[in-house]
Parts: sequence; C-alpha cells; structure tokens
Amino acid sequence: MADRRIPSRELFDPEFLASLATLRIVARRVAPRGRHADQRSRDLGGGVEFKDYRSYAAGDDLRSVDWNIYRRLGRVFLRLFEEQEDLPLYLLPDISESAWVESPPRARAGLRTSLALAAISLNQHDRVGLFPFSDDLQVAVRPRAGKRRVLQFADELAKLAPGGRTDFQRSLRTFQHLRLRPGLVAIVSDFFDPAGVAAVVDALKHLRHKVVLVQLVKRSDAEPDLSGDVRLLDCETGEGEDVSITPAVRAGYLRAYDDFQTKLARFAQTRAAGLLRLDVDQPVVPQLATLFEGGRLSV
Amino acid sequence: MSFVLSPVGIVLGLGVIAFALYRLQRLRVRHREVAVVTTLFWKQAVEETRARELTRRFRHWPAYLLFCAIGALLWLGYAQPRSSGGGEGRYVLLLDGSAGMAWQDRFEEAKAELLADIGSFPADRTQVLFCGGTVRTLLAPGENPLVLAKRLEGVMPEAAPASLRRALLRLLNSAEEDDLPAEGTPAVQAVIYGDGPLTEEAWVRYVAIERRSFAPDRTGNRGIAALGIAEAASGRWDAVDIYVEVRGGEHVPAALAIDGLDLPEPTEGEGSRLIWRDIPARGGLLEARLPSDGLTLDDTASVRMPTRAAIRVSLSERLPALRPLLESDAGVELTDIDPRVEISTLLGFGPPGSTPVLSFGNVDPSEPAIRVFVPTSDAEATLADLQQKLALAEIDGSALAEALGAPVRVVVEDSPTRAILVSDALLRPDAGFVTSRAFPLFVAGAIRLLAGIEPLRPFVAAGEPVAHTPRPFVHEGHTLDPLGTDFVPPVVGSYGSETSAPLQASLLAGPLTGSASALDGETQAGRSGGFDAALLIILLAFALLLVEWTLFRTGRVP
Repeated sequence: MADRRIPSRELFDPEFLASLATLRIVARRVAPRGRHADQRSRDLGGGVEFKDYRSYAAGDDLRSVDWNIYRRLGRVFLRLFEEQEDLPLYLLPDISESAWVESPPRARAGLRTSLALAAISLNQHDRVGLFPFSDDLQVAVRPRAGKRRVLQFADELAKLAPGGRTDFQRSLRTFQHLRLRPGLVAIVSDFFDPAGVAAVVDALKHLRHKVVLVQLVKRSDAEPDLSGDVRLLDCETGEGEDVSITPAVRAGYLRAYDDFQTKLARFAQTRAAGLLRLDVDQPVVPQLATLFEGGRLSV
Repeated sequence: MSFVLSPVGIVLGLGVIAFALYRLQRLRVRHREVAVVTTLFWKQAVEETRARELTRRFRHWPAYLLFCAIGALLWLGYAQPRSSGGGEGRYVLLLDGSAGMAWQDRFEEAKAELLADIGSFPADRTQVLFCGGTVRTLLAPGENPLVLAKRLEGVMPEAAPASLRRALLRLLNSAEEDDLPAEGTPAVQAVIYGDGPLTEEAWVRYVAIERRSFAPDRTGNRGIAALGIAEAASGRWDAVDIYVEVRGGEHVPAALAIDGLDLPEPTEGEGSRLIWRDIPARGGLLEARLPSDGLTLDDTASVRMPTRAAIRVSLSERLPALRPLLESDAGVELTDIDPRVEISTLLGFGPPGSTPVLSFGNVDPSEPAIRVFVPTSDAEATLADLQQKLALAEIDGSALAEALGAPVRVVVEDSPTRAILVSDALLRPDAGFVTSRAFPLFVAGAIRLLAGIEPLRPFVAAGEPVAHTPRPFVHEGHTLDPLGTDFVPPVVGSYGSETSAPLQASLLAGPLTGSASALDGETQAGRSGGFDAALLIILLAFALLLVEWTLFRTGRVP
C-alpha cells in the first residue's frame, strides 16, 4: 500500500505560520499550578494585576505588605496579585481510516488545523501536547512549550500514519487516564464513530478539560452523490451495506446526518465548547479565523 | 380464440414467467461497490425506510405486476392466439402439384401465395396438402406454420393430372358421418392454390371451396392430348393403328418413334389429329414427341406396343367345321408343327408344360358345359375376366339351354396347364351355337386365352384407372397394389409387373393444353374472419415496455 502520510512541507509554510500570528487563544481562567505564562490563573501570586487584600499571617512575604495601609490604619495587610500561567493545549487529531480515504483526505485539513492550533498556543508560551487517536489514543508529543517547537510538531504530525476505526470512548478514556493538568482539548475529527454520535457525545462529556471541536466536513456529507443500487463499504469497519438509493432512502440519510450534526452542536452549546465545522476542501486558515472572534478564542 | 401452443402449455408458461419474475424480484441486486467514510447514516436511512414499508420481503408489487404483464403478453404473443371468428370447421389448403402447374412460374407463384396466407389460418385446424400424383400432407393440424417453408423446398409439380378431387374425397371419407355437420354448413373449408379443375359434385355441400392462386391461362402451350393404339382397321393381326391428337398452340405435327426409331409420316389425318395405319406390332415403346414449350410435361407421351405374331394352332381332323373359321382368323396359323394351341376332340389335357388344349368332347349333361383350366387363385375374378375374353356375354345362354335341355354352366378351375373343355353338345346344329355370331368370337378368344395373348390396351393415362390388370405393379422401387379396385397409375412412368408386360403411363389430360376455362363447382368459402391477435398482443407488450422504461428512467421503478 502506498504511504499515505502527508509530508510536513504540505502541512505548513511561512505564509501559513504568518497568517496565524494574529490569533490568540485566551482562557477566562486557567487551572492553578501551571507554569508562568500569559493566561490568567486562579492562583494569586506574583503577577502585575492587583486583585485583593488580606490580613497578614505569620510567614507571609513581607514584600507584599501594603505599608501605606499600615501607616494609616495601623493594621498589616498584604496586597494580592493575579498569577499568569499557561493553558495547556492537548491536540487530539483523528487519524482513523476515514480521514485518509478521500481525495483530498480529510487528514490533510485536520493536520493543518492541528498545526495551526499548536502554533498559536506555542506563540503564547502555552504547552502543547499531541495525542492522535483512532481506535485508541497515542501519546505522540507530551505537553511542552516553546515557539521553536512548531517545526517539531510539524514533523510529528507528518509522521502520523492512518489508523484503524474510530473509537471515541476508548480513546478519550485513555486520555483521561493520562491525568493531565486541565487545559484545552482540541479534537480535530469527522466524529464518524461507528458506535454512533451518542457514544461520541457520551465520551466527550467525561472530559475534564475545556473543549474545542473541529469537525472536518465535506460537501458530499450533506449531499451524497450516490444513486442506484450500491454496496457501501465502510472504510473503517470493512462492512458492506447494500443500499438501493431511492428518494426515500436519500431523505432518510439526510435526516440521520442532520440529527448527527444537531447532537454534536447541542453538546458544544451545552458544554460551552467551541465548534468549528471545517470544510476540508476549502483553505484552512480563513475558516479557522471564524473560530477566533476578533482574533481571540475565549475558552 | 385458438393458440399454436396447447392451453396447458400456455398456463404452464405463464406460471413459469410469474415464478421466474418473482424469484428475480427476490434476488439480491448486484450492487456497485463504493467505499465511503462511514455507513452510519445509510444504515439508519435504510432501517427507517424499511420500517415505513408495508412488507419487508417483497417491496415492489407494482413493478412486479408490470413485469408480469409484459412477460405474460410476450408469452401469449409467442403462443400466437388467433380469433376463430366463431368458425369451428377445418381448413384444408390444397397446393396443386399437377403437371399443369409446371407452366412457367405458376407453381412458384402458388407456393408464395400459400406461404403468405398460411399465417392467417388457425394452425390447430389447418392442414396443407400437396396434390400431385399422390396426395401428401405438407402440414398437419397443430404443426407450427413456420415449418411449411422448409417443407415446400424441393416440392415440384409432378407429371400427373390434378388430384384435388381425390384429396377432398379422402378428407371427407376420413371423417365419421357423425362429424359431418348439417347440410349447408361446410365441414371443410378448402382453399386451392393452383389451377387444377374441380367439378361440382354431391359432396361439395360439405366443402366450401375458395381459389387463392388461379391463373389458368396457358395460351401458347401445346401438348399431346391423346396417344392410342387400336386393332388395325385393315384386319391385320400383327399390326396396329396409332392415333395421336395434339391440342393448343401453333400446329406442329407430332413425331413418332418406336424404341428410338422414327416412324414415317402419318397415313391419315390433318391438323392436330393424325393416324398411322398398319404399324407392325412387334412390341417396344412407342413415343410421340412435340417440340418443347413452356410446359414440357405434356410434350411427350408413350405407350407400350403389343407383340402380335400368328398363333400356331393344330386342328384335329375330326373338327372340320372349325377350319374355315380358323382360316379366316388373321391371328391364327393352322399347322401341326410346334403348335401353341391344340384343338381336339379328346377331353383332357396333359401335364404342366404341355400344349394348351381346346377340346370338344362328350360331357355328361350334369357336368358344366364349359370348363376353363387356368392358373388362378381367384376363380370368380377370373370368370368375370373370361366374360370378355371368351365373349361369353355374346352367347344366348337361355336359347342354348332350351335347345340342349340343360343349363349351360361355365366353371373356372385352377390348373398349371391351360385348357378349355367344351361339351360337344354345343356343336350340335340344333343348338345353334356354331352358327351364332358368338361362336367365332368364342373360338378366337379361347385360342388367344390359351396362347396367353393379352387383349390390346389402347392407352394408359396417368390418373385414369386401368382395367383388367394383374397386380401388383412396381414403380420406381415402390410396390403399388390397388387392393380390389382398378389400378390407377399416379404419375407418368413405367409400371413393371411380374406376371404381365409393363405398363407405360402417359399424361393425356386435355385441360393441360390451351387456356383452361373457369372452374366448375367453385364456391367462395365463408372462411371465418379470424384475425392475428398475436400482433396486437406484441404491440401491447412493447407499449408496456416503453412505459416500464420511462418509469425506470424517472426512478419510479427499481
């Protein structure tokens, strides 16, 4: 079988990276005990943004005492500042078989999107981890920071080979077992799990992270160009389904697809997760920009 | 409505079509394989669609019924239904294969017209007969008309007169009397393709006759209408006179030849009727010829010449009264050297191989006056034959019986040696037999019977009965035995026999020559106007196919 992996030169170029420079991912609050970075944290510490006062307690750093209040009130208070920490980004690109069978493959747009998100996060000193998944989740790159790691990510993405069938339940369970610091999980996938959309949503609900869903779609998903009597071979399971495509069957397909989209969108709405439906046949960056309102993606 | 196929076959075929289409509907469609990213939504769509259907096992009833209708119509079309138009009679198509149809392209025209018409008759009640020298069946009822064209290949007119009448009589004879409908309703509707004549007879009321191919005009044809031989008018025993008559066309004298040797110019006659006198009767084949024209079958005719040599007869001196009589017979030569017949007064005859005897002797009045000993297996038939040969019919039996005081009886007995024993009482002057005109005929006939001389046969015509012939005859390897009736040579040719000289039959039928007149007894058959429903059904089937194609193209049938 021919090597279907996508070379890194196809994943990015200088223009691609330059177009991402204006985009930022901003978290309302990041989880505590992170490394210092640009995101606002629930931790109080050595930041520059004043947040509150509290009474002095033994052992507090005397450098934080507000001596002006002590002079006027005779009591010792400490000034508290917001801590700025990083927002870990966990990229979960879907490398199941369905991402590679078409032309152009959905994986191409998916990996470019993953790289774009990684580049944005790395630019703002966040750590980025790469966890491709299909029937299970792999740890390709553990979370790490550094602007110069974009190239490393590109190489790692280019090394990803087509996997098997999609299994969200198992893959996300594996991800949970990694016990990573809460961060932003970006799932880039077509979300075509043979177990159905209910299984996908159920698996997503158990994520203890902020979630961004990038759904890779094609026009043919909503307007299948099939007719007559066909045996549809599922590229992941290998199972065949004999279908006589009549108007009634076509209408049933559209209803099922619409239901799938609705359930996915409802989950995103419920979970306040971002959802981007990315047409894989169109340029990635302009579509990605719509996710970043005013250049910011608030999570 | 009638069908080429049997009703059982039609029902069986319809059942097979319905079952086969049902099975085809149940067959899984051979799907085109397409790889897709997921079959998730298609599965849901199919399940949802199934849930809304009335039946899951058989989904396309309208399409199935449409296909069944198309299949049934095609099958019925194959069965070739035909409206009987209310008629139930038999159709007999007679193809005239007589000699007259050999005129130019007449026979091919008749065949073509027959083939063009055969499809319009109900196959189960239509029979096609070839009427040549013999009547042969070309197509039996129930057979597929398509085989007729093949069977007509190689069928040619035969040198024989028309046998249409024979064919129709045979058809009527084959039907039981109960099958014959009431008068006025034809049992057989005959359609004649050809020009053979057919006269109206009593049985015609059972047959409605129609002509389909009739072009009897053969103007310009010239043929031999008669060829016969007769006893020489000059009285010569060893010679015959020959008569030839030619009809039609420009006058051309016929040329005669015996075994290839031409005869001189005719003795008498002018125009078309010619007579040759005193032609020696030494046997051989006499042939009359005319220059060939458009119909060659009637340009020649043949007949066997008799063999006539004087019969050596030994006469007993005790019968002087017979001498003048015998001396006046040109066919008799009185001699005692190697006689072929002895005439004596000693009753009795020798062993087999001895000379045949005509003896006049004293016979007990209780015994038959005339006893004839000949090789025979049928005494009664031989006696009837002797009536002519011995001129017994000329004898005034009652007067003779009255004179003799006893009836005059004639018996025929089987014997390897020929002999005729006559009571000498018949020779008594008071009996009057000797002085009667029957006596010379009786003596001459007796001598010729004993010498084995057969009577002169003037002509033998194909299609005409030949009386007083031994049986059987052999023609072209086939044995022909009329079984009790006179022998009728079916076609021109030589007919050999083990017990007599062969016969040479000729075509001596007048209507072959010249222009035939309109036929007698022809009636227009009321052929029931059946129509070919198969065509209508096939057209309907194609219309449904068009509908099916349109529905298929628009995606309304699978």
